[in-house]
Amino acid sequence: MQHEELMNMILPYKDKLFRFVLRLVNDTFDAEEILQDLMVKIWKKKDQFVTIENKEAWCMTVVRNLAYDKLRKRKQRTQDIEEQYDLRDKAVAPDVALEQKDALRKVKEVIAQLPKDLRTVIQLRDIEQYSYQEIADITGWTLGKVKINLHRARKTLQHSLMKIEL
Amino acid sequence: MKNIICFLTIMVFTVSSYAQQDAIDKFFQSYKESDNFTSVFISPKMFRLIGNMGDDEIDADTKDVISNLTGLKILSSNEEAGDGMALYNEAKKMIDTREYEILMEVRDDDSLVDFLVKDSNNENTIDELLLMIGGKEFTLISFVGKIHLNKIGKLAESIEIDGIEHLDKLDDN
Amino acid sequence: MKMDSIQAKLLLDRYWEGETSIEEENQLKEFLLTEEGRKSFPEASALFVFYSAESTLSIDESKLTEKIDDKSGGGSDPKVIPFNFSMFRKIAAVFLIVFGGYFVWQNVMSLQVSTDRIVEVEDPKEALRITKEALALAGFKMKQGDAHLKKSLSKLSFTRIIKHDN
Repeated sequence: MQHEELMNMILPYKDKLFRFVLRLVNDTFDAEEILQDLMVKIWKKKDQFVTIENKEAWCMTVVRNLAYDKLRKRKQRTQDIEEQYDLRDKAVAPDVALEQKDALRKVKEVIAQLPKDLRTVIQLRDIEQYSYQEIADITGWTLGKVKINLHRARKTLQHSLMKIEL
Repeated sequence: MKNIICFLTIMVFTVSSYAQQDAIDKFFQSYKESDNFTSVFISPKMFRLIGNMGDDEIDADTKDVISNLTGLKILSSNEEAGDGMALYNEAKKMIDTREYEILMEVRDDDSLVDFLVKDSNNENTIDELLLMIGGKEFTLISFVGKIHLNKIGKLAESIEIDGIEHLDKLDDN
Repeated sequence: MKMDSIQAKLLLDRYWEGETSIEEENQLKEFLLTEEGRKSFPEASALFVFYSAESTLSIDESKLTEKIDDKSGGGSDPKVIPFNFSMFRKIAAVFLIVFGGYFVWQNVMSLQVSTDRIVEVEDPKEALRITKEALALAGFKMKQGDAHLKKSLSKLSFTRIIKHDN
Protein backbone atom coordinates (compact mmCIF):
# COMPACT_ATOMS: atom_id res chain seq x y z
CA MET A 1 0.00 0.00 0.00
CA GLN A 2 1.23 3.47 -0.83
CA HIS A 3 1.24 6.59 1.30
CA GLU A 4 -1.51 8.05 -0.80
CA GLU A 5 -3.89 5.21 -0.10
CA LEU A 6 -3.20 5.49 3.58
CA MET A 7 -3.62 9.24 3.47
CA ASN A 8 -6.95 8.88 1.74
CA MET A 9 -8.18 6.77 4.62
CA ILE A 10 -7.09 9.34 7.20
CA LEU A 11 -7.97 12.54 5.34
CA PRO A 12 -11.67 12.65 6.23
CA TYR A 13 -10.88 13.02 9.92
CA LYS A 14 -7.35 14.35 10.07
CA ASP A 15 -8.57 17.76 11.22
CA LYS A 16 -10.77 16.29 13.94
CA LEU A 17 -7.80 14.31 15.19
CA PHE A 18 -5.61 17.37 15.10
CA ARG A 19 -8.06 19.58 16.97
CA PHE A 20 -8.65 16.93 19.60
CA VAL A 21 -4.95 16.44 20.25
CA LEU A 22 -4.20 20.15 20.08
CA ARG A 23 -6.73 20.92 22.79
CA LEU A 24 -5.39 18.11 24.93
CA VAL A 25 -1.71 19.00 24.73
CA ASN A 26 -2.12 22.74 24.03
CA ASP A 27 0.92 22.78 21.84
CA THR A 28 0.84 22.84 18.04
CA PHE A 29 4.22 21.18 17.69
CA ASP A 30 3.36 18.33 20.06
CA ALA A 31 -0.02 17.87 18.40
CA GLU A 32 1.60 17.52 15.00
CA GLU A 33 4.10 15.10 16.40
CA ILE A 34 1.38 12.93 17.90
CA LEU A 35 -0.40 12.79 14.58
CA GLN A 36 2.84 11.84 12.89
CA ASP A 37 3.31 9.09 15.45
CA LEU A 38 -0.19 7.89 14.70
CA MET A 39 0.67 7.74 11.02
CA VAL A 40 3.82 5.75 11.76
CA LYS A 41 1.78 3.35 13.88
CA ILE A 42 -0.75 2.92 11.10
CA TRP A 43 1.98 2.57 8.51
CA LYS A 44 3.65 -0.19 10.52
CA LYS A 45 0.40 -2.07 11.02
CA LYS A 46 -1.17 -1.14 7.72
CA ASP A 47 -2.48 -4.64 7.01
CA GLN A 48 -4.38 -4.70 10.29
CA PHE A 49 -5.45 -1.08 9.94
CA VAL A 50 -7.36 -1.67 6.72
CA THR A 51 -9.45 -4.29 8.48
CA ILE A 52 -10.52 -1.98 11.31
CA GLU A 53 -14.17 -1.18 10.94
CA ASN A 54 -14.41 2.15 12.74
CA LYS A 55 -11.10 3.73 11.79
CA GLU A 56 -12.13 7.13 13.08
CA ALA A 57 -12.84 5.90 16.62
CA TRP A 58 -9.68 3.79 16.57
CA CYS A 59 -7.53 6.77 15.55
CA MET A 60 -9.20 9.03 18.12
CA THR A 61 -8.46 6.47 20.85
CA VAL A 62 -4.83 6.10 19.82
CA VAL A 63 -4.18 9.83 19.67
CA ARG A 64 -5.95 10.33 22.98
CA ASN A 65 -3.68 7.80 24.66
CA LEU A 66 -0.61 9.31 23.00
CA ALA A 67 -1.69 12.77 24.16
CA TYR A 68 -2.32 11.57 27.72
CA ASP A 69 1.13 9.97 27.75
CA LYS A 70 2.64 13.21 26.55
CA LEU A 71 0.79 15.17 29.23
CA ARG A 72 2.08 12.86 31.89
CA LYS A 73 5.61 13.30 30.68
CA ARG A 74 5.64 17.03 30.81
CA LYS A 75 4.18 19.97 32.63
CA GLN A 76 2.05 22.01 30.33
CA ARG A 77 3.89 24.79 28.60
CA THR A 78 1.64 27.76 28.99
CA GLN A 79 3.38 30.07 26.56
CA ASP A 80 2.26 27.84 23.75
CA ILE A 81 -1.31 28.88 24.33
CA GLU A 82 -0.28 32.35 23.19
CA GLU A 83 1.23 30.84 20.09
CA GLN A 84 -2.09 29.33 19.16
CA TYR A 85 -3.95 32.61 19.38
CA ASP A 86 -2.33 33.78 16.18
CA LEU A 87 -3.13 30.52 14.56
CA ARG A 88 -6.67 30.61 15.84
CA ASP A 89 -7.26 34.16 14.75
CA LYS A 90 -6.86 33.11 11.14
CA ALA A 91 -9.68 30.67 11.60
CA VAL A 92 -12.03 33.34 12.88
CA ALA A 93 -14.04 35.19 10.26
CA PRO A 94 -12.38 38.53 9.42
CA ASP A 95 -15.43 40.54 10.43
CA VAL A 96 -15.35 39.29 14.00
CA ALA A 97 -14.94 42.32 16.17
CA LEU A 98 -11.88 42.86 18.33
CA GLU A 99 -13.82 42.38 21.52
CA GLN A 100 -15.07 39.05 20.30
CA LYS A 101 -11.50 38.00 19.67
CA ASP A 102 -10.68 38.92 23.22
CA ALA A 103 -13.67 36.93 24.44
CA LEU A 104 -12.47 33.95 22.41
CA ARG A 105 -9.07 34.20 24.02
CA LYS A 106 -10.65 34.14 27.46
CA VAL A 107 -12.88 31.21 26.61
CA LYS A 108 -9.87 29.32 25.33
CA GLU A 109 -8.02 29.99 28.55
CA VAL A 110 -10.96 28.70 30.57
CA ILE A 111 -11.10 25.50 28.51
CA ALA A 112 -7.34 25.03 28.64
CA GLN A 113 -7.55 25.08 32.42
CA LEU A 114 -10.03 22.23 32.63
CA PRO A 115 -8.64 18.86 33.77
CA LYS A 116 -7.71 16.69 30.81
CA ASP A 117 -10.72 14.36 31.00
CA LEU A 118 -13.10 17.30 31.02
CA ARG A 119 -11.25 18.92 28.11
CA THR A 120 -11.53 15.62 26.29
CA VAL A 121 -15.27 15.38 26.70
CA ILE A 122 -15.87 19.01 25.69
CA GLN A 123 -13.75 18.61 22.60
CA LEU A 124 -15.47 15.38 21.58
CA ARG A 125 -19.01 16.49 22.30
CA ASP A 126 -19.21 20.23 21.80
CA ILE A 127 -16.70 20.67 19.03
CA GLU A 128 -16.75 17.36 17.18
CA GLN A 129 -20.36 16.49 18.10
CA TYR A 130 -19.87 12.82 18.89
CA SER A 131 -22.68 10.88 20.54
CA TYR A 132 -22.28 9.60 24.11
CA GLN A 133 -21.73 6.10 22.80
CA GLU A 134 -19.02 7.25 20.39
CA ILE A 135 -17.29 9.14 23.18
CA ALA A 136 -17.46 6.03 25.36
CA ASP A 137 -15.92 4.00 22.54
CA ILE A 138 -13.10 6.48 22.03
CA THR A 139 -12.26 7.05 25.67
CA GLY A 140 -13.01 3.61 27.09
CA TRP A 141 -15.24 5.24 29.72
CA THR A 142 -18.63 3.86 30.63
CA LEU A 143 -21.66 5.79 29.36
CA GLY A 144 -22.27 6.90 32.93
CA LYS A 145 -18.78 8.32 33.18
CA VAL A 146 -19.16 10.15 29.86
CA LYS A 147 -22.28 11.82 31.21
CA ILE A 148 -20.69 12.68 34.51
CA ASN A 149 -17.64 14.18 32.87
CA LEU A 150 -19.75 16.18 30.44
CA HIS A 151 -21.93 17.44 33.27
CA ARG A 152 -18.90 18.43 35.31
CA ALA A 153 -17.15 20.00 32.35
CA ARG A 154 -20.12 22.17 31.42
CA LYS A 155 -20.81 23.17 35.02
CA THR A 156 -17.17 24.15 35.44
CA LEU A 157 -17.25 26.12 32.19
CA GLN A 158 -20.46 27.85 33.22
CA HIS A 159 -19.01 28.95 36.55
CA SER A 160 -15.68 29.99 35.11
CA LEU A 161 -17.31 31.99 32.31
CA MET A 162 -19.55 33.80 34.80
CA LYS A 163 -16.49 34.90 36.71
CA ILE A 164 -14.59 36.42 33.81
CA GLU A 165 -15.61 39.66 32.17
CA LEU A 166 -16.50 39.17 28.57
CA MET B 1 15.54 -34.08 26.97
CA LYS B 2 16.07 -35.50 30.46
CA ASN B 3 16.75 -32.04 31.71
CA ILE B 4 13.52 -30.81 30.32
CA ILE B 5 11.51 -33.61 31.95
CA CYS B 6 13.26 -32.88 35.24
CA PHE B 7 12.48 -29.21 34.87
CA LEU B 8 8.82 -29.88 34.14
CA THR B 9 8.49 -32.21 37.13
CA ILE B 10 9.97 -29.57 39.41
CA MET B 11 7.67 -27.05 37.88
CA VAL B 12 4.61 -29.20 38.59
CA PHE B 13 5.54 -29.35 42.24
CA THR B 14 6.43 -25.72 42.66
CA VAL B 15 3.37 -24.58 40.78
CA SER B 16 1.01 -26.82 42.70
CA SER B 17 2.41 -25.76 46.03
CA TYR B 18 2.23 -22.16 44.90
CA ALA B 19 -1.37 -22.63 43.91
CA GLN B 20 -2.44 -23.67 47.35
CA GLN B 21 -5.65 -22.20 48.65
CA ASP B 22 -5.61 -18.49 49.03
CA ALA B 23 -7.86 -16.50 51.30
CA ILE B 24 -10.65 -16.24 48.76
CA ASP B 25 -10.62 -20.00 48.20
CA LYS B 26 -10.78 -20.64 51.91
CA PHE B 27 -13.67 -18.31 52.32
CA PHE B 28 -15.36 -19.72 49.30
CA GLN B 29 -15.06 -23.28 50.61
CA SER B 30 -17.29 -22.42 53.53
CA TYR B 31 -19.96 -20.93 51.29
CA LYS B 32 -19.74 -23.48 48.55
CA GLU B 33 -23.34 -24.55 48.86
CA SER B 34 -24.70 -21.07 48.92
CA ASP B 35 -26.02 -19.35 45.80
CA ASN B 36 -25.63 -15.97 47.37
CA PHE B 37 -22.08 -15.36 46.28
CA THR B 38 -20.60 -14.66 42.91
CA SER B 39 -16.97 -14.88 42.16
CA VAL B 40 -14.90 -13.74 39.22
CA PHE B 41 -11.48 -15.05 38.35
CA ILE B 42 -9.02 -13.59 35.86
CA SER B 43 -6.26 -15.99 34.89
CA PRO B 44 -2.57 -15.30 34.26
CA LYS B 45 -3.28 -16.02 30.61
CA MET B 46 -5.75 -13.15 30.48
CA PHE B 47 -3.21 -10.83 32.04
CA ARG B 48 -0.72 -11.80 29.39
CA LEU B 49 -3.29 -11.08 26.69
CA ILE B 50 -4.00 -7.70 28.29
CA GLY B 51 -0.26 -7.06 28.30
CA ASN B 52 -0.23 -7.55 24.53
CA MET B 53 -2.98 -5.01 23.90
CA GLY B 54 -2.08 -1.97 21.86
CA ASP B 55 -2.01 1.69 22.82
CA ASP B 56 -5.49 2.10 21.48
CA GLU B 57 -6.92 -0.13 24.15
CA ILE B 58 -4.86 0.61 27.23
CA ASP B 59 -2.73 3.50 28.43
CA ALA B 60 0.86 3.13 29.54
CA ASP B 61 0.37 3.52 33.31
CA THR B 62 -2.46 1.03 33.55
CA LYS B 63 -0.49 -1.41 31.42
CA ASP B 64 2.50 -1.02 33.70
CA VAL B 65 0.45 -2.08 36.72
CA ILE B 66 -1.59 -4.79 35.00
CA SER B 67 1.34 -6.43 33.23
CA ASN B 68 2.80 -7.27 36.64
CA LEU B 69 -0.38 -9.00 37.82
CA THR B 70 -0.81 -12.74 37.50
CA GLY B 71 -4.23 -13.19 38.97
CA LEU B 72 -7.33 -11.41 40.17
CA LYS B 73 -10.20 -12.89 42.11
CA ILE B 74 -13.29 -11.13 43.28
CA LEU B 75 -15.89 -12.63 45.58
CA SER B 76 -18.99 -10.70 46.41
CA SER B 77 -22.15 -11.42 48.28
CA ASN B 78 -25.61 -10.45 47.15
CA GLU B 79 -28.36 -9.13 49.38
CA GLU B 80 -29.65 -12.57 50.32
CA ALA B 81 -26.29 -13.58 51.71
CA GLY B 82 -27.05 -11.52 54.77
CA ASP B 83 -25.36 -8.65 56.51
CA GLY B 84 -22.14 -7.67 54.76
CA MET B 85 -20.58 -6.59 58.01
CA ALA B 86 -21.13 -9.99 59.61
CA LEU B 87 -19.58 -11.72 56.62
CA TYR B 88 -16.70 -9.29 56.78
CA ASN B 89 -16.06 -10.16 60.43
CA GLU B 90 -16.29 -13.83 59.65
CA ALA B 91 -13.81 -13.54 56.79
CA LYS B 92 -11.47 -11.58 58.97
CA LYS B 93 -11.25 -14.49 61.39
CA MET B 94 -10.19 -16.78 58.57
CA ILE B 95 -7.19 -14.67 57.65
CA ASP B 96 -3.94 -16.25 58.68
CA THR B 97 -2.05 -13.42 60.28
CA ARG B 98 1.25 -15.20 59.73
CA GLU B 99 0.60 -14.93 56.03
CA TYR B 100 -1.05 -11.55 55.73
CA GLU B 101 -0.11 -8.27 57.24
CA ILE B 102 -2.64 -5.49 57.76
CA LEU B 103 -1.58 -2.51 55.73
CA MET B 104 -4.44 -0.23 56.65
CA GLU B 105 -8.09 0.01 57.53
CA VAL B 106 -10.27 2.60 55.92
CA ARG B 107 -13.59 3.46 57.47
CA ASP B 108 -16.21 5.69 56.02
CA ASP B 109 -19.86 6.22 56.81
CA ASP B 110 -21.18 2.95 55.51
CA SER B 111 -18.24 0.70 54.82
CA LEU B 112 -15.09 -0.70 56.28
CA VAL B 113 -12.16 -1.66 54.10
CA ASP B 114 -9.12 -3.68 55.15
CA PHE B 115 -5.97 -3.72 53.09
CA LEU B 116 -4.02 -6.91 53.70
CA VAL B 117 -0.74 -7.71 52.02
CA LYS B 118 1.37 -10.77 51.54
CA ASP B 119 4.95 -9.60 51.55
CA SER B 120 7.50 -10.56 48.95
CA ASN B 121 11.27 -10.70 49.24
CA ASN B 122 11.44 -7.58 47.18
CA GLU B 123 11.36 -4.35 49.15
CA ASN B 124 9.23 -2.39 46.72
CA THR B 125 6.63 -4.92 45.82
CA ILE B 126 4.19 -7.28 47.50
CA ASP B 127 2.97 -10.70 46.35
CA GLU B 128 -0.70 -10.27 47.09
CA LEU B 129 -3.01 -7.42 47.90
CA LEU B 130 -6.23 -8.49 49.55
CA LEU B 131 -9.09 -6.07 50.03
CA MET B 132 -11.90 -6.96 52.42
CA ILE B 133 -14.84 -4.65 52.09
CA GLY B 134 -17.71 -4.85 54.54
CA GLY B 135 -20.83 -2.76 54.30
CA LYS B 136 -24.28 -3.48 52.97
CA GLU B 137 -22.62 -6.20 50.96
CA PHE B 138 -19.39 -8.04 51.41
CA THR B 139 -16.60 -8.10 48.85
CA LEU B 140 -13.19 -9.72 48.76
CA ILE B 141 -10.71 -8.71 46.08
CA SER B 142 -7.38 -10.43 45.72
CA PHE B 143 -4.67 -9.17 43.37
CA VAL B 144 -1.76 -11.56 42.91
CA GLY B 145 1.51 -10.76 41.19
CA LYS B 146 4.29 -8.27 41.57
CA ILE B 147 2.38 -5.38 43.03
CA HIS B 148 3.67 -1.85 43.51
CA LEU B 149 1.26 -0.17 45.90
CA ASN B 150 2.50 3.27 44.93
CA LYS B 151 1.67 2.67 41.32
CA ILE B 152 -1.88 1.62 42.18
CA GLY B 153 -2.24 4.79 44.23
CA LYS B 154 -0.94 6.89 41.35
CA LEU B 155 -3.25 5.16 38.93
CA ALA B 156 -6.18 6.19 41.07
CA GLU B 157 -5.11 9.80 40.70
CA SER B 158 -5.22 9.61 36.94
CA ILE B 159 -8.64 8.00 36.94
CA GLU B 160 -11.43 10.44 37.66
CA ILE B 161 -12.15 8.92 41.02
CA ASP B 162 -14.83 11.27 42.20
CA GLY B 163 -16.83 10.17 39.18
CA ILE B 164 -16.84 6.59 40.40
CA GLU B 165 -18.73 7.42 43.54
CA HIS B 166 -21.58 9.06 41.67
CA LEU B 167 -21.67 6.74 38.75
CA ASP B 168 -24.66 4.69 39.77
CA LYS B 169 -26.76 7.77 40.42
CA LEU B 170 -26.38 9.09 36.91
CA ASP B 171 -26.41 5.95 34.88
CA ASP B 172 -30.06 6.12 33.99
CA ASN B 173 -30.02 9.58 32.40
CA MET C 1 -38.40 26.97 13.94
CA LYS C 2 -36.92 30.24 15.07
CA MET C 3 -35.96 30.33 18.68
CA ASP C 4 -36.59 33.23 21.05
CA SER C 5 -34.49 34.06 24.07
CA ILE C 6 -36.93 32.41 26.49
CA GLN C 7 -36.76 29.12 24.66
CA ALA C 8 -33.02 29.54 24.39
CA LYS C 9 -32.75 30.12 28.13
CA LEU C 10 -34.56 26.85 28.84
CA LEU C 11 -32.37 24.99 26.42
CA LEU C 12 -29.24 26.63 27.74
CA ASP C 13 -30.07 25.59 31.30
CA ARG C 14 -30.37 22.02 30.12
CA TYR C 15 -27.17 22.41 28.14
CA TRP C 16 -25.20 23.40 31.25
CA GLU C 17 -26.61 20.36 33.01
CA GLY C 18 -25.40 18.12 30.17
CA GLU C 19 -28.92 17.09 29.24
CA THR C 20 -29.27 18.30 25.66
CA SER C 21 -29.17 16.24 22.47
CA ILE C 22 -26.85 17.09 19.60
CA GLU C 23 -29.78 18.56 17.62
CA GLU C 24 -30.73 20.78 20.53
CA GLU C 25 -27.12 21.85 20.90
CA ASN C 26 -27.08 22.81 17.23
CA GLN C 27 -30.29 24.84 17.59
CA LEU C 28 -28.76 26.57 20.57
CA LYS C 29 -25.58 27.25 18.65
CA GLU C 30 -27.55 28.78 15.80
CA PHE C 31 -29.33 31.14 18.19
CA LEU C 32 -26.24 32.05 20.22
CA LEU C 33 -24.31 33.03 17.11
CA THR C 34 -26.92 35.68 16.24
CA GLU C 35 -26.78 39.26 17.49
CA GLU C 36 -29.76 38.61 19.77
CA GLY C 37 -28.07 35.53 21.20
CA ARG C 38 -24.88 37.42 21.87
CA LYS C 39 -26.73 40.18 23.71
CA SER C 40 -28.94 37.84 25.75
CA PHE C 41 -26.26 35.37 26.81
CA PRO C 42 -22.79 36.85 26.28
CA GLU C 43 -20.90 34.06 28.09
CA ALA C 44 -22.63 31.18 26.35
CA SER C 45 -22.41 33.03 23.05
CA ALA C 46 -18.65 33.48 23.44
CA LEU C 47 -18.34 29.79 24.20
CA PHE C 48 -20.26 28.79 21.08
CA VAL C 49 -18.37 31.27 18.91
CA PHE C 50 -15.25 29.60 20.20
CA TYR C 51 -16.64 26.15 19.41
CA SER C 52 -17.53 27.06 15.87
CA ALA C 53 -14.18 28.79 15.27
CA GLU C 54 -12.45 25.81 16.79
CA SER C 55 -14.16 23.39 14.45
CA THR C 56 -12.53 25.05 11.43
CA LEU C 57 -9.00 24.45 12.67
CA SER C 58 -7.04 22.11 10.42
CA ILE C 59 -3.68 20.50 9.83
CA ASP C 60 -1.74 20.47 6.60
CA GLU C 61 -1.65 17.12 4.86
CA SER C 62 2.10 17.23 4.36
CA LYS C 63 2.65 17.53 8.11
CA LEU C 64 1.08 14.14 8.71
CA THR C 65 3.50 12.03 6.76
CA GLU C 66 6.74 13.68 7.88
CA LYS C 67 7.78 10.79 10.08
CA ILE C 68 6.67 8.09 7.67
CA ASP C 69 8.67 9.72 4.92
CA ASP C 70 11.71 9.58 7.21
CA LYS C 71 11.17 5.99 8.26
CA SER C 72 9.86 4.16 5.26
CA GLY C 73 12.51 5.80 3.10
CA GLY C 74 15.24 3.76 4.81
CA GLY C 75 14.95 0.27 3.30
CA SER C 76 12.71 -2.04 5.26
CA ASP C 77 13.98 -5.27 3.72
CA PRO C 78 13.62 -8.17 6.12
CA LYS C 79 16.88 -9.50 7.53
CA VAL C 80 17.77 -13.03 6.48
CA ILE C 81 18.86 -15.19 9.40
CA PRO C 82 20.86 -18.25 8.33
CA PHE C 83 19.34 -21.53 9.47
CA ASN C 84 21.31 -23.10 12.27
CA PHE C 85 20.40 -26.53 13.64
CA SER C 86 21.74 -26.11 17.18
CA MET C 87 19.87 -22.88 17.50
CA PHE C 88 16.74 -24.64 16.28
CA ARG C 89 17.15 -27.20 19.05
CA LYS C 90 17.53 -24.51 21.65
CA ILE C 91 14.46 -22.72 20.41
CA ALA C 92 12.49 -25.97 20.43
CA ALA C 93 13.60 -26.66 24.01
CA VAL C 94 12.57 -23.19 25.14
CA PHE C 95 9.19 -23.63 23.43
CA LEU C 96 8.68 -26.96 25.12
CA ILE C 97 9.52 -25.56 28.52
CA VAL C 98 7.39 -22.48 28.10
CA PHE C 99 4.35 -24.24 26.66
CA GLY C 100 4.77 -27.28 28.88
CA GLY C 101 5.03 -25.08 31.93
CA TYR C 102 2.12 -23.03 30.78
CA PHE C 103 0.02 -26.16 30.20
CA VAL C 104 0.86 -27.46 33.68
CA TRP C 105 0.09 -24.10 35.22
CA GLN C 106 -3.22 -23.86 33.41
CA ASN C 107 -4.14 -27.36 34.57
CA VAL C 108 -3.33 -26.62 38.16
CA MET C 109 -5.24 -23.36 38.01
CA SER C 110 -8.27 -24.95 36.39
CA LEU C 111 -8.25 -27.80 38.92
CA GLN C 112 -8.20 -25.24 41.62
CA VAL C 113 -11.03 -23.15 40.30
CA SER C 114 -13.23 -25.78 38.74
CA THR C 115 -14.27 -27.03 42.16
CA ASP C 116 -15.60 -23.63 43.03
CA ARG C 117 -18.40 -21.52 41.69
CA ILE C 118 -15.95 -19.17 40.09
CA VAL C 119 -16.60 -17.53 36.77
CA GLU C 120 -13.47 -17.31 34.71
CA VAL C 121 -13.35 -14.26 32.49
CA GLU C 122 -12.41 -15.26 28.98
CA ASP C 123 -12.55 -12.02 27.08
CA PRO C 124 -9.41 -9.89 27.51
CA LYS C 125 -11.40 -6.66 27.13
CA GLU C 126 -13.81 -7.70 29.84
CA ALA C 127 -10.85 -8.80 31.97
CA LEU C 128 -9.25 -5.40 31.45
CA ARG C 129 -12.44 -3.60 32.41
CA ILE C 130 -12.87 -5.62 35.58
CA THR C 131 -9.21 -5.24 36.54
CA LYS C 132 -9.35 -1.51 35.94
CA GLU C 133 -12.43 -1.20 38.13
CA ALA C 134 -10.87 -3.30 40.88
CA LEU C 135 -7.66 -1.24 40.70
CA ALA C 136 -9.63 1.98 40.74
CA LEU C 137 -11.52 0.85 43.82
CA ALA C 138 -8.30 -0.21 45.54
CA GLY C 139 -6.57 3.03 44.61
CA PHE C 140 -9.55 5.09 45.65
CA LYS C 141 -9.81 3.44 49.05
CA MET C 142 -6.04 3.77 49.43
CA LYS C 143 -6.31 7.48 48.81
CA GLN C 144 -9.12 7.73 51.34
CA GLY C 145 -6.92 5.88 53.81
CA ASP C 146 -4.02 8.22 53.14
CA ALA C 147 -6.25 11.21 53.72
CA HIS C 148 -7.47 9.75 57.01
CA LEU C 149 -3.91 9.04 58.01
CA LYS C 150 -2.76 12.55 57.27
CA LYS C 151 -5.70 13.91 59.24
CA SER C 152 -4.95 11.73 62.24
CA LEU C 153 -1.26 12.55 62.07
CA SER C 154 -1.95 16.25 62.04
CA LYS C 155 -4.28 15.80 65.03
CA LEU C 156 -1.57 13.83 66.75
CA SER C 157 1.09 16.45 66.29
CA PHE C 158 -1.41 19.06 67.40
CA THR C 159 -2.01 17.25 70.71
CA ARG C 160 1.70 16.90 71.19
CA ILE C 161 2.17 20.60 70.75
CA ILE C 162 -0.52 21.21 73.37
CA LYS C 163 1.20 18.82 75.74
CA HIS C 164 4.50 20.62 75.24
CA ASP C 165 2.85 23.88 75.96
CA ASN C 166 1.58 22.58 79.24
